[in-house]
Amino acid sequence: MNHRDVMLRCAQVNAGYMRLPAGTVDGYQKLVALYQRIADQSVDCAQVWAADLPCPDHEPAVDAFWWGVVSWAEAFGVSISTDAGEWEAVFVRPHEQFAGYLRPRSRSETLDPVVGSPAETVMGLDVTWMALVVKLTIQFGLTQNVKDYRAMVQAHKLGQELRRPDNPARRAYLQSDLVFFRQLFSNFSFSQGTAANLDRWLQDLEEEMASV
Amino acid sequence: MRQLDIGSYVMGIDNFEEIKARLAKAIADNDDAEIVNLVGELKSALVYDVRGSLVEVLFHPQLDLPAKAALERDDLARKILDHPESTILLEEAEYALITGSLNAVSGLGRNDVRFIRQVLDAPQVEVEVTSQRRRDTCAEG
Repeated sequence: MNHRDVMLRCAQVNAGYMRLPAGTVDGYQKLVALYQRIADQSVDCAQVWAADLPCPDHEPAVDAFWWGVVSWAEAFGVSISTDAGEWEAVFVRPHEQFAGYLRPRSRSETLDPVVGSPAETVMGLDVTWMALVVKLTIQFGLTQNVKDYRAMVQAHKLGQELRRPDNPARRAYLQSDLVFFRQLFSNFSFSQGTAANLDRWLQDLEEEMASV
Repeated sequence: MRQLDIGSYVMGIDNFEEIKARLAKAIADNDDAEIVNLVGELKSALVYDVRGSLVEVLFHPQLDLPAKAALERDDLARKILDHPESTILLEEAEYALITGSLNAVSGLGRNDVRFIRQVLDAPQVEVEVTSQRRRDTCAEG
């Protein structure tokens, strides 16, 4: 598979995220709806990219989402201490190429790595990624996404919930992320060593969740 | 030619530009609490879709368009909808089609006032004809 097909698969995996427990958490309907809209437009764009055609019309929030993912991907690799060169080439760069197709620009935002238990890393990065997506949405096109003000407020509220241990929303997002990461990482041709590290890390995450 | 502003704009709140400026500062300061407060102030904001409204005006049922006229207008509608920038240059004939339609339809409300002004007050601009175009025109003549 070339990197465009890989990113199409990633966009498809992403479009299924809100069908996982995260999508059923009470009080976040606007956020879930926005996420789904972004995910569906992302699949459309990724399909057109795979066909080597010009980028179709889409909302600025889609650009914000994927440029946010690029920063998240960088920080995630550092957080789990994976091989930096391989992670950049195999995982980060295809995301950056897709984000650049959606909105040509240079990578300029960074997220701080979260070093801790797997659950702390996942939740810490989820929260800072969401905050970054809100900021980029505002910068890229507030007028077009002004209708999503409720979803943006809910993203902030969700960020606060995800930081709290024993919170039901945190549990639902962790469960969803575990399934999501397994599906997501399976699309990339990592070396045997990196694939084994990722499997071990996901196993640790699962065990940590089971022990809570 | 006429230069027409076709970018969507926000209505329903008077201080949108001020909120935008404060949001830019809050983002630069990494002040998440201020960002969420300001975003919450956008609750009564509505977006006026200028491109969509222009196309609606061009094809308004009150115009009772025959098939051929509808097809001709579709070229202009596509030009407007597909234009990537927030301003567009229109030939006088294209502009006349829009103003003629706008002046012919009824049922517009106060929410449409800015849109109407934007269309009817679109400035006339001189466009430098390129040497290629001059050559084409001479060849045609």
